[in-house]
Amino acid sequence: MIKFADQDRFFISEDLMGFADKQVEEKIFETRVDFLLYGAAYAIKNNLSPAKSFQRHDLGMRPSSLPEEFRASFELIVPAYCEDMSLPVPSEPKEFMSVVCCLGIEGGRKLYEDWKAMSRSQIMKKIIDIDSDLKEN
Amino acid sequence: MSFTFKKLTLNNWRCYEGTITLDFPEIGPEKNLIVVNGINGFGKTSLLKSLKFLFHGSGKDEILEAWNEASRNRGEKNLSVSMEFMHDGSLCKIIREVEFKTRGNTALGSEKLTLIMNGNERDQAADKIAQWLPTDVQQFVFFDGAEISRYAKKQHDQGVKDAIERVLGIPAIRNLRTDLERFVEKLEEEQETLLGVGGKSQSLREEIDDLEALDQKYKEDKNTFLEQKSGIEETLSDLEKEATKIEVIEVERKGLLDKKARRADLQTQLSEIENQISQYIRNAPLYLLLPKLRGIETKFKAKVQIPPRQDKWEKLEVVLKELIERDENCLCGREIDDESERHLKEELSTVHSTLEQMKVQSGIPGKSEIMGKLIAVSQIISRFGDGLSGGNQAMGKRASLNLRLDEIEKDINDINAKLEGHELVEIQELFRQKADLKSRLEEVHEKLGSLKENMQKNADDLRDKKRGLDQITINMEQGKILVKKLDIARRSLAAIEALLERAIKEKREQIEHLATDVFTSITNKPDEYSRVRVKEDYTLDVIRKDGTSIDNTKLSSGEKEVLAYSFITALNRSSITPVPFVMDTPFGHLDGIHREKLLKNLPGLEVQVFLLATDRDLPLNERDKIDASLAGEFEIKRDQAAARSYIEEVK
Repeated sequence: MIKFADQDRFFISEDLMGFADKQVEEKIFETRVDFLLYGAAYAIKNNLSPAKSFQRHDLGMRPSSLPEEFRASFELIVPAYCEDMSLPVPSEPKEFMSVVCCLGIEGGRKLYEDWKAMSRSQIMKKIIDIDSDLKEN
Repeated sequence: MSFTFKKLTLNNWRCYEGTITLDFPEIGPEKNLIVVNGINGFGKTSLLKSLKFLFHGSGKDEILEAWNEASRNRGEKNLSVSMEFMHDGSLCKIIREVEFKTRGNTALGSEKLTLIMNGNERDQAADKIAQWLPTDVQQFVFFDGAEISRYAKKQHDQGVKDAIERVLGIPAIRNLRTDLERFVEKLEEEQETLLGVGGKSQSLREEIDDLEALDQKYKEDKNTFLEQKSGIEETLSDLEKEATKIEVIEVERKGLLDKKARRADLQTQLSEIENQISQYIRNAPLYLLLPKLRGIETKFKAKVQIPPRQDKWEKLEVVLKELIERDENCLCGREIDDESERHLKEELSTVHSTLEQMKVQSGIPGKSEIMGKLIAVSQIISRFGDGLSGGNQAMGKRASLNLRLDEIEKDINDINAKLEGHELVEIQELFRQKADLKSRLEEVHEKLGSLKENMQKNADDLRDKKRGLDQITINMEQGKILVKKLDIARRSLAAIEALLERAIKEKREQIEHLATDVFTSITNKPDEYSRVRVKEDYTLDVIRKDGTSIDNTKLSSGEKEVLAYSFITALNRSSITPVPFVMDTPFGHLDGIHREKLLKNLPGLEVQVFLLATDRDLPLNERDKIDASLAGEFEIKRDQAAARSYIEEVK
């Protein structure tokens, strides 16, 4: 079973840095990695393919700083997701980290389009409302 | 009843075009109400104004306003109001008419007043009418419910006070006193002539002159002190009002502290809710992944069907691992030495690699691995499976907290604005001024007290000196009769002065008693209010059961109306010639209970009572209750096409 390796670090694309910073500044997300993981989950939920073209920006954060259930969830889902989407299934931790981050970038880009005109409260409400979103689906 | 209206005639008066005549029915005991119904804008107040105009005239602009527009457009040049009435057994008629002269676009009215008594026109009509109904008393006879606040005034003008006393018959006694004073003066002049110049009488007369001059000075001093007293009392009353405001401000200041504490509490709650929301948002990716996790869980559960051979090898692997990890004895009880352990590890390695091959061949992971993943997935699902409903609740609570915080912030700003300029120093200064004025008031009271003593002593001296002069006069020829006359005149004057003082006191007490009776029978707070106090200038105070008085401005509009009504009816009953009582929109400020009590009270008045009422003043069910007291009823109607009001008697 593929797992995060603690020598690997999360990364994001340069084009999303400003938006991720804004989310942190406005205290919607605590860290840029929180935003990235939300983007990854959003991408998985919406069956998006991982981003391919971008300039990588290292976020400096290692998987060990994440809560166990976060790591376990991605470790369980990502291989199955790749299979379902006919994508190469990651076979080693670095590749796995790369897939998670690329999904985060793709999801983050979609969120940028959705959220760019929204206020802090509207974005927070939108995130919280995902619950009803899920029930609808 | 000495004063009753019989017939009112209006000609081109305001909204009443042409001639309108109202014949008022006879009234009897407990059957004295005459109701004129009319909805707003139909002409009730115009009727009230016609009576005010009839008795006391009106200003130039008001007269122009009163000129009916249609008649004016037709070129008619006059308006008039007249009333036939009985007064002290005489049939009287007052006619007040105005003739207009137009010059270009402007018109000017000249007013003419005629008084006819028992068929004869009387001179000095205005004076006679003012005697029956003084202008300043008009407000207590023609009662305007819309101007209720003026009836709860703190002070009346001197004119109002004089007018009230005129209605009460006080001036008649005053006139008698003036006549007697003049008579005494005349007799004293005769005495002076008789005594001539020089001798003992000369020095006595000089002493009398000095004492009279001193008495005059004392009277002037008394007026000065009374003015000072009134001024201080007025300022004190203003300061009291200010102090009341400050009390309100102090309450506000305490309220501000409460609000600030509440704000701090809400801010703490908000901060907790914000933390909760942050936590929900941090976990949001897991909620998004939940459907996929549930799918994986189902998939894993299905995959737990492991082939029997693979299962056997897996169990063997578990046993070997346990033996190595036990680090004690073998299952048979023999100690595991290094050689045995090395052998077990080799066996475990072989079993492990065989098992891995089996997993690859079957495509199914081992039982323990599957169980581990299943447990992890189940834990996540059970922890977050309830979704974010708590988050939505937290968002709702946050919005409501923010709203409440905004409201409190606004309240705090409002209170701060109110408190601005009311520094503690200012409040202390106000209370210092109050204390200062109270001590000055006490000083003036003391001065007035000693002045009264001096005046009394002076009066005694004056009386003694005059007696001395009388003794000299009595010994002279012709002097005996003169002294006797003087004695009678002076005694009469003293008696009249005492009578005047007593009459004023008794009348005021009578009004106070009657007003209290009416007020306590009508008020909704009979257990709280004890009586009505009528002050020297005939303004009113409501006294609580604990003896304290209420600031009239703090009474509700309904209570002010009840207070005004109590005074007016008391004045009417105390009057030497009670006049008919007219109430326009009488019950506008009253609730149902007040209105019912007042309606029960009205038939008790021994005069005609005219109620110019809307359907709100006198709803149908209440109108039925006064049926027995109703002497007559009229209805104001309106021809809206012709913009003309008219009045019909309701049969």
